Amino acid sequence: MPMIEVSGLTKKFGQITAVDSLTFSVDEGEVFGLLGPNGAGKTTTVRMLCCLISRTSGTAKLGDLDISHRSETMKIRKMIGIVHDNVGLYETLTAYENLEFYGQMYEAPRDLVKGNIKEYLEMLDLWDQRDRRVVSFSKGMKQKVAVARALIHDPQILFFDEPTANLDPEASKVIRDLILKLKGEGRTIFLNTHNLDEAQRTCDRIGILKTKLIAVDTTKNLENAFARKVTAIVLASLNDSILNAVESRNPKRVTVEGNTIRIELEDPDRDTPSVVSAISGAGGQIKSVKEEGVSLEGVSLEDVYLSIMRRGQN
Amino acid sequence: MRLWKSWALARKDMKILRRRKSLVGGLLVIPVLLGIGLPAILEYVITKKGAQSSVVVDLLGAFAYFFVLLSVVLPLYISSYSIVGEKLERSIEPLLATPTSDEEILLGKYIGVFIPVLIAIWLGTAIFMIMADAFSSASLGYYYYPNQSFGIIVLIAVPLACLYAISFSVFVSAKVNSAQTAYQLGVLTAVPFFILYVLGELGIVSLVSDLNILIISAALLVMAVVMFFISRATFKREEILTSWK
Ligand SMILES: Nc1ncnc2c1ncn2[C@@H]1O[C@H](COP(=O)(O)OP(=O)(O)O)[C@@H](O)[C@H]1O
Ligand SMILES: [Mg+2]
Repeated sequence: MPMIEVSGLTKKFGQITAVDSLTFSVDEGEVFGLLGPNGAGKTTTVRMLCCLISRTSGTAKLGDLDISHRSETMKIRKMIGIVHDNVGLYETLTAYENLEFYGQMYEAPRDLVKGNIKEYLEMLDLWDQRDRRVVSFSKGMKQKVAVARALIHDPQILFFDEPTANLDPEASKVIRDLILKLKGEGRTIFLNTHNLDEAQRTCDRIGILKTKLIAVDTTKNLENAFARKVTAIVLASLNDSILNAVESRNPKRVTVEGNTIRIELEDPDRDTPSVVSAISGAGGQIKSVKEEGVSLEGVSLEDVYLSIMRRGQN
Repeated sequence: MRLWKSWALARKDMKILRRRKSLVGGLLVIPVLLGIGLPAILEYVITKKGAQSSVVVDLLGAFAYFFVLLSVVLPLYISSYSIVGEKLERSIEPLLATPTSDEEILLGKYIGVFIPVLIAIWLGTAIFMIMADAFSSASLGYYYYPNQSFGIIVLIAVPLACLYAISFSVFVSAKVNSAQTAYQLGVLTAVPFFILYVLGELGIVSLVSDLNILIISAALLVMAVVMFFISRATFKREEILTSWK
């Protein structure tokens, strides 16, 4: 069942189109990643979905509530939790006081708020710091408080707007682990990120945004499409003429380790046979040919864009 | 509109105010100085100039109006920070994301300024009454304070003047992005009161007349209510969020 259904959602700021006719949906219990560089329109999209700013056209539904119906705004605000792109905590208040205040503003029952503050601050390793003023906190600690704030009223849908941007790896990991835990509880999660690796680790599906939605697919399919694929060919022996034969097929990269040649090809399915025949032609004795997947790690968002753009042109 | 939500917001604002010692100091210093300074002038006039009791009574009546003036100026000091402060801390976005209505937020902002300002001004008026009585009772032969006129000023005109000033500066601070601008624009709200003061000094309007004070109070109430509705009508979450970079 779709929990978030977006159709033709568009936002213009004057002459600038920040978000251009997005259409996609997010199922209940799914982690959906909106992946895009700075200025892609991620924050603008989330702000529209959270009824913080108006839309220029198009619409969206959260559960059975429509963001274009003013009468449903309050209900939408109550069912969602947001980790904003800025922590926006009251620095002169303590972590506990910040969370307590938002518990009230979200109209959550006192006991629930108390329980959630304890649960999440403990989980995020901040329980001992709860009575310290936020002003003395590190960036990572502040972000953790902001995450706890988003969860204070047990929302069904959670929006995270670049929750790990500029955080140290440890704090980033704690927050990613929490996202996965929340997913395990069956909550629907919408994650904005410009970090491909983060999207790959946490999301079930990814939408790639650059003002327009360039692609939406499962993380698996995107991985298959963009992970560097390496063909490993094991030979009985190796010599220069074999290597020259391989080079003649214009591979993207070739590495040699003992009698194994690892070749990165534009399209392994298409190009492997011709490489194999070239090796045979040069007198190479092939023992095995295997495809090795290399993860998205090291692949940059730019690679993905370029590759999508190239495909769009083909 | 749910009052408890406004109250929750106001309590949060007051808690933050209490922790900002410089703001608390600034809030208390003028009412206390006025509470001490005005009676000191009286003492000077009585002992050094040998003023007649009729002059003393005139002076006491005129002094009372200073507390109305103060009530228009003092709220600006805090309420300029009210919404601008949330913008500066960037806490405005999470706040606006909560299921809280525009009216609840505005009213919360009003209450969070109203209570501390009123406490500060009442502290000043209490000091003023005690000291003025102490200095004047010998020459008058009775205790001038408390009396009905000052009661009207302290209990009616002062709170309504605060409310009026708050309603203006909350409106202004929702529109601008610096506390200083909010403060400077807010000061304009005091202009009519200075004009009234001058008119009073020129003998054109009597500011010691209970009726006039009540009329002024009624006008203040009307303006505060009108400003509340204008603020509500022009409270645009999107504008507050996106005009701020
Ligand atoms: N209030 C605004 N006024 C004008 N342009 C804006 C405003 N907010 C965002 N934009 C523009 O919209 C585009 C998308 O911004 P944003 O949603 O913040 O991107 P992201 O979150 O992906 O970095 C950018 O080009 C940005 O400059
Ligand atoms: Mg952003």
